[in-house]
Amino acid sequence: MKKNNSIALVIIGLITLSYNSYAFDYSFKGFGTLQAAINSDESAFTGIDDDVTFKEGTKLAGQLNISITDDLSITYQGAIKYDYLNNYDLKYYTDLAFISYQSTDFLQTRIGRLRTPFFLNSEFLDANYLLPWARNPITVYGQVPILEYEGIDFIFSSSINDDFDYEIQIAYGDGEESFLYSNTVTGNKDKIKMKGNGILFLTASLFWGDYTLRINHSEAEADIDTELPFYIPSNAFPDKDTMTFNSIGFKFEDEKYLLMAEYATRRTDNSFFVEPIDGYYITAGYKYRNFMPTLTYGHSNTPSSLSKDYNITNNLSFITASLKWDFAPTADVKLEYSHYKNDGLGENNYQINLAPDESGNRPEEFGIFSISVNFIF
Amino acid sequence: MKIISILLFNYTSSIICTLLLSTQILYAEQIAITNIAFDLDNKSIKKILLAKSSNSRLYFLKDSNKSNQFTRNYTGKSARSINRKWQRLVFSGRAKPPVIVEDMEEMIDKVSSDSKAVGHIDANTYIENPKVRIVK
Repeated sequence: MKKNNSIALVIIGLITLSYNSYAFDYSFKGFGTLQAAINSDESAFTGIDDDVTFKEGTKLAGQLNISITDDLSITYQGAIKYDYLNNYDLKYYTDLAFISYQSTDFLQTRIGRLRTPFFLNSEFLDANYLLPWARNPITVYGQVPILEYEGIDFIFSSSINDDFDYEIQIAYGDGEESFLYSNTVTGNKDKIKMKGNGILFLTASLFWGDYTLRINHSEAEADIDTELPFYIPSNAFPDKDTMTFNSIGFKFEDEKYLLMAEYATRRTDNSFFVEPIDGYYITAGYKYRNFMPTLTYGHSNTPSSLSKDYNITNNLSFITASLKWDFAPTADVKLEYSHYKNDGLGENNYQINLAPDESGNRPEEFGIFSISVNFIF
Repeated sequence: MKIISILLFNYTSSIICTLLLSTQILYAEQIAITNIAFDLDNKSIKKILLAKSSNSRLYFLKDSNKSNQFTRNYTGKSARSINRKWQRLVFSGRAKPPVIVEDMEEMIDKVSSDSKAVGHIDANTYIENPKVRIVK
């Protein structure tokens, strides 16, 4: 909260200064999604059960950019979303609030609240219009509960030669996120706040024509900021333990084809609820006029010694068929069906909204159908 | 019959000529312009359009045929495809959003007042403003 206040003060101060000293320009942009989804099974998966819900994925966001000088600017992005932690009440979120300084043609520095750059699409993950799916591949994007952090990043971009460009992003800061953890023994849904202290992100991207290759290594001191119920062992969640993420992403996109794949791993010391996880997805799409059908396959598993000791399987795999229709210059409709195969305890590898039903039962296979309207303005 | 054939040929030819002419007018070649203070060449324009360099601000004419011609000239991609790449940067908070301007007069005015501007105009446009130059 103190961090939010400090960011707000910095922004108000700079606006006041700039108003008095410079003629600044500003722009207002936004994006939104209206999504309906239903599960073939009654047990909720990512908040979706066998009743149609409009509350998973539906959002409206606005972004204000103020240029104080050609090199100095302020960005604020706020969004209204349904808060699954509080009975799906509408809640206002500040997703971005930072000052950006372009010190040279090659170096951009940003300070404030930023999106965590763990994966290829992480920094614009909420703007569904810019993504090929209605719902992001959980086997990669579900690995990280922390979506924003307060800190600083340096983005260095340059060219190797006429054909190859690269970008190095180094970021550091603190982040936190709450999630519901489903206790399959008690049937309780425990609200856990996880903190990532001193998260270090190291990202390198290489661009060649329509190809992008990106690698990321991130690490943090993970901790929980919640008084655990008596029935949860103290070593269930990270207690100032090191958490590391590694990912590699590839993308090819031209006027006709899309091929995108990511592989990501998460490792945590001394925490048996937040287990290690390896996951990937691959998406292939073909653009025909204003339509783009895509197929996505994803898989994740938990290579933990605990799982092996107790002969527990932790595999989750899915296949998604999606159809994107650009019905207007900046709006699309996405029809999507995902078929999941949940072998064992795979779902609890993700610290996002994966609450099973009260009985803790879930069929090994189920499907989720969704339709969404996505737009930017 | 011969007269009818000649008349029909002349009529068809004139329609084709008119269509070709109007096509030429609609799709007049678009060239890149920038602020005189911005050191860019044609290769840089391609990189900027492909969102590989975010240290600039794009200005597009509202006429989508012209903006399409501009992006296709320099990248082989449609304006919609280029816009989508830029929106990813914009909503990541890495770049300023592209600006849509009404006409060439406004385009030249905007580019002259923004030292990081990249825009486009009809190739046959005469630029009087000393703060705007054609990218070569």
